Amino acid sequence: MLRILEILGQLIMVFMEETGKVILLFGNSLRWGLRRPFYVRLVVRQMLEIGVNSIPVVLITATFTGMVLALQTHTGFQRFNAESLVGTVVALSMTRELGPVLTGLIVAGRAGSAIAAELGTMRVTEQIDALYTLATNPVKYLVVPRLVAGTLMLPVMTVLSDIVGIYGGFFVSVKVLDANRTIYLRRTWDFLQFSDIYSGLVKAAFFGLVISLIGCYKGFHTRGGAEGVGRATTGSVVVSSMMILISDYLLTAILF
Amino acid sequence: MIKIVDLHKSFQEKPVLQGVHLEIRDGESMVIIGWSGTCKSVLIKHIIGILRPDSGRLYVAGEEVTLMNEQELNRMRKKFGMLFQSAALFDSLSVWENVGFGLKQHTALSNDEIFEIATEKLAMVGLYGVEELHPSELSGGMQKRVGLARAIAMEPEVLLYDEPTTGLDPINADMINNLIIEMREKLKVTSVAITHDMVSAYKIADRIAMLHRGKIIEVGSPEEIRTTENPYVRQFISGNAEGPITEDLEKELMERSGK
Amino acid sequence: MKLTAETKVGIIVFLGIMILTYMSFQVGEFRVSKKTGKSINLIFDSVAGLSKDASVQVAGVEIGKVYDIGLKEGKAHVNVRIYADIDIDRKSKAYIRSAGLLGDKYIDIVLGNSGDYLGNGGTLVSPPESEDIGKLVGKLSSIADDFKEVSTALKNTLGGAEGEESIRRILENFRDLGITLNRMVDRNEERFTHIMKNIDELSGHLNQTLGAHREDIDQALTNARTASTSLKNIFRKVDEGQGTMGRLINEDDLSENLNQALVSANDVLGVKKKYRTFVSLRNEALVEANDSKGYISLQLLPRKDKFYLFELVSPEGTKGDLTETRTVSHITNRGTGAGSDFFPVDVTQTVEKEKTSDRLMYTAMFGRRFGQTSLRLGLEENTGGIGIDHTFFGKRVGLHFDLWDFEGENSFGGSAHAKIRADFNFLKYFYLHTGYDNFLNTEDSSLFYGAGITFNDEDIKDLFSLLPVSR
Repeated sequence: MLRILEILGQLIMVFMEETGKVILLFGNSLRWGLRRPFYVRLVVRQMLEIGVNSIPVVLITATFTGMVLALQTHTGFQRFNAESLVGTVVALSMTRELGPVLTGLIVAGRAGSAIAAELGTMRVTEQIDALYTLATNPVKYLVVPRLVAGTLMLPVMTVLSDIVGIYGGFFVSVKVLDANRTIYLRRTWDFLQFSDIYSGLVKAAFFGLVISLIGCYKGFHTRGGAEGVGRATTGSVVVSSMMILISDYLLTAILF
Repeated sequence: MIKIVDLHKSFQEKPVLQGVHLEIRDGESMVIIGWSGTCKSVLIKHIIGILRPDSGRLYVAGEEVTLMNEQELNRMRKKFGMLFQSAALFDSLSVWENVGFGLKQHTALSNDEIFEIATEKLAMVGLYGVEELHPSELSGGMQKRVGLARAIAMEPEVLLYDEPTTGLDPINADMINNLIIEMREKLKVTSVAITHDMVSAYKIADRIAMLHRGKIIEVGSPEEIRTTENPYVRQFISGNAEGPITEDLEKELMERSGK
Repeated sequence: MKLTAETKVGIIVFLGIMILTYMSFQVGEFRVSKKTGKSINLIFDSVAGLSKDASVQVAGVEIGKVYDIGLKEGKAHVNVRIYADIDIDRKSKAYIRSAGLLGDKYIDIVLGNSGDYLGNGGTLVSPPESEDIGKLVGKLSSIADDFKEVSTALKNTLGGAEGEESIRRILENFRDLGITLNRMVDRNEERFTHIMKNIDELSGHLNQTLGAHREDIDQALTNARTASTSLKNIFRKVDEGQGTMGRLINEDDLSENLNQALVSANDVLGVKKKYRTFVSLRNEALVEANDSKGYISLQLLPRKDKFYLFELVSPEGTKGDLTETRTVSHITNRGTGAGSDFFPVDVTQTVEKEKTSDRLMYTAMFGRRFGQTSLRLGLEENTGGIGIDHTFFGKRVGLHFDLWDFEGENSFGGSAHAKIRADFNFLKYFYLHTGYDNFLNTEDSSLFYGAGITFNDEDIKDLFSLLPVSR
């Protein structure tokens, strides 16, 4: 019994310590990020890594999510003759919820892990120390561009996934389920408000920040060679996925 | 040039440095030897300010490093060049970008100018035509040389070497030793090297210091070290498996398992 | 050409911004603000359920959107933006309607044709709304309040000897009313029988009496005159009776409260003005079958062009199960002249052939009206039937044709039961009618005549309010 409490206490302490370190890292990034010079080229490079290269996966996922959403809601809604609202449901679900969250999860799996692996390798091969010796702050050089890129790219990708999701649902409804295309589009856009899209984008930006931050943190604090890099990679995916889902609820509840 | 006073450092309550005293003079070549696991690189990382001591003081050119903030540290670090044990070249950058990294960050030089300087520095370490290659395409010895070229690119006053010959074949190791001597003679830099390779130490050192159990237990010229009475130093330099170092260790292990 | 990292990122970010712009123009709220259009104010009593951006339609075509909803002097002021190229006539009417599964409210504008158009910023005051649930509930509660007042007054009245006395008097009055009504009914019966007898004679001897029998015609006309005089007497008596009853109630509070309550009740009924009701009672004497038939009918008109007819029919002798025998009483009047006492003097008991039980028959029909003509369809005297009605001379004369019991199960001839009937509304509440019943089955066919009395909901209401209250 005592042992269990001890382990529990230890876990809580570790959790608190890690949280504190993540927040410190974020504070450091803010401090360094606001200081000249700005590494625009590095930001662009990370935008390519985090965003552009993930786009095919994100688009395919979003398309099929929109499609299956249309299929499922249609099945449910036709039981009370509300098929015309499928478009509304798909549009609202995609923009408010699934667009940002799915994009976030995919980017966490793809880019977040890559960040952790890259920084982790740099850590174990002393490249991060080398940056210090070259009078370059690794937080500024490595972390800040990734945070900026993640925060900027996620909303962009969410917009893309919103639109392909909506049109994926449209395709299934109109071509497969034989819905009226005009009514479907009307229902899609009539009930959608800009705040729905906007709230999704704010979430996405936050997710982007979280993914990058956790990836960087895990990479930065890697220990123990190749095995450590593996742990950091897995850890970053698990933690950032969980953080996305938890913060998604909190953001939705508090902000929108 | 560098003065270390009573430096202490522990990692997770495990003491690593327990009151290190050491003075490195201007322009001399200091080699710190010690058994693996004595965390010699921890000491060197303190010198360049990557690690902060728990207590003690560290002066570089009269300035107290331990009191510096990050910006002052960066200014100070520009006086240093460091060659890492694994070279620590940036995988994502080409060889010339690695060499010119400091110039790129801290000077307003154009890429062409940086490329030129990088080529020149690479030539100094005996590498030609590798500018556009990536670090992964180079052998270990070549990587070390690129690392050295990067370390000297900013024309530092102090060069730090972390196990410069470790992991290299004797020929390559000797070439690196020659380069270290060459650098000192050509660039008039102060060198601090940590190694457990006694061949290398005798060759490049003006003075040798031995780090054992978090303390400097002996400092002297290579000749003095070679003829020391200190049993620990003797065991280390002769490369004996039996002696006070290992006895202490065994005792410690016995005690720990006895608990 | 190889794309650099910058180019790729640029393309994607640009694409994202383009799509975001596209979406922002697609979503509901920003679409309209682009085309502001003409501004028009609509004033409603209530805009319950209407929201911003609700659609404004003419003939089902969207012409604009609701821009703003405000409240001024207790009325809802709705500002709408008309972006379609359409002029709104000043005589147009705006209604709030709901559409779709979710009951989305929209504004329906029925264009007028005065040729005078509303300009930008013009105002259209909507006609009073048809009652909604909320208002009805409000009214009902006000009625409940009225009844509470009534009961309070009653309680006050009933307290003490004075109250008891007044109650006794009221009861006495009611008894008197009953007596008067009984007498009225007696006299009615007598008179009607009299009239019918005359008509019978008239029709029976029409051929012979024309020309040759001047006296007979004169006699018939005299009789008819006497009949109408008698009817006038009846009404005068009713009037007197009412006056008497009114006078007898002298409790001011009570009558006042009752009055109020009834006014409220009138209002409630007024709410349902569209839903008109007719109650009528009529009797048919079948000449050849030597039988009679009574009807109580209730006609509901939810709309002008639609009605429901429910009738209870007391059965005639020659219908239904052909096993039972039945005794029918005929009351023959032997008295003379109007004004004397009437009572049944001779009762003849006749045993008819195969008779049926006394069970009532039901008619429930749905009807549609097309101008002067209406069609009925449904259950007629317990079997499926159809009917057609036509009215002439401002509904003074009605012609009815009914066909039911298509299998002929209830008739001897085995053919469908057909009936033709004409009625004459010679006074407001009374009518006479004649016709030919079951003419497709020779054995059962019979000429008939009769009289009826009909009230609509207004009359019932008037009776209610007049009888006890007026003094």
